[in-house]
Amino acid sequence: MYVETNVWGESRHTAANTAAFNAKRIESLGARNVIAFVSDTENKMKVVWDELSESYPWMRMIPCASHCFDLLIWKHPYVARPLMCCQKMKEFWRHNSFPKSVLERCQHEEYGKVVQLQRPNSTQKKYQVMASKSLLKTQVAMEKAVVDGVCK
Amino acid sequence: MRSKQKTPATATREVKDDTNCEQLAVVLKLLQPQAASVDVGQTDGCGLGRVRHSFFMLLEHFNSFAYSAAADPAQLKQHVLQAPASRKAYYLRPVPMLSFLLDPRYVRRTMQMSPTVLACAMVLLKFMVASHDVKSALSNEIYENESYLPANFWKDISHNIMTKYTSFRARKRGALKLPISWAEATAADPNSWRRTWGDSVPHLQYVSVKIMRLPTKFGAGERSFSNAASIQTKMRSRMSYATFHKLL
Repeated sequence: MYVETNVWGESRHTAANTAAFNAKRIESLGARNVIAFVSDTENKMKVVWDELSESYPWMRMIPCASHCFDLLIWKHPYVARPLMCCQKMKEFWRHNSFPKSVLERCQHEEYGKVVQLQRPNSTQKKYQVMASKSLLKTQVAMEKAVVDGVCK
Repeated sequence: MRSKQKTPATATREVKDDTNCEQLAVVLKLLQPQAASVDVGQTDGCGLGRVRHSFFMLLEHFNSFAYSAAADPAQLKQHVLQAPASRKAYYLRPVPMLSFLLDPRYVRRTMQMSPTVLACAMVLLKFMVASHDVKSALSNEIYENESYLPANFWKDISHNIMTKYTSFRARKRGALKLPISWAEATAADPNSWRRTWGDSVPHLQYVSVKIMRLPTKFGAGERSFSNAASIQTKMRSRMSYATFHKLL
């Protein structure tokens, strides 16, 4: 597997420029030695795929599986809204020391241990799922912390 | 910079509002297999076939999901069922399909596969073996260029490749006849499976190994982008491109 990072400077990130850059690298590696090209699925890369397929017909263009799965259904408001709400709740409980300490006390009373709230990562959706799970685990303790009047 | 945080009053209101947690629980149930699929795309070493498998498992999950619990079920269901259809063009490309067909883990699975998609995968199989034969002929150093190759040069691997493929799928060749070779535990790791049992279909094994080794993800590139964002910040915007390139 060959990976290269290059800073483009002032030249424009057009499909033609990207395809020319990739073709140059492919030629330096030996065109017949390269059998596949993996990238994300943005429109520019689709044009690059077409251009490279024309020059190197044996080469396979592979869309990044993680990108494809990641972008499947997350943008729907019914899905995005609760996840965003979860993210904001995490920020609140993690970044305010007084509510955080009361929540930890409530967690200790309810579950006998402190349940850590995981930080959701905005780009990797599986971490959002993990973070949501940890928030739901501590729902009772959160309600108790709020009823205690900590957040007034 | 930290994003705008909730005030205690807003947080209290949202904790007290049960619908938030109910919606989150439904969304979580819906998305958990998808998160697992993202994981497959990121970690599996011989994963193109597995990516295709995960996609179909995901479709099954979306189709059988209990949408009635959702607040706006019709719209959500419509969206969830439409989204994979719009991305099908990526998952059903010939490479993942062929990888799926050559993966010993999924030989017994019967999953919907249209004749067109199957035909494309077979065309790719033939194309890959033909390409290997061209490369072998050129490596003999008799011919300098692809254009000098005679039309009837010996195609070692291409010869009878479809018969070998059929034997593999039908499990009717050499050691592949043994039930133990297809046991779930034996086929769990396709790479070691090929080393142990793949000798019965050696030419097909060549293509399988090649296609199984194809990367499934663009993670390394994304990590570079992430590093670049940490290096070139608002406070270091005057850095030259040459220095930036060296730091990356």
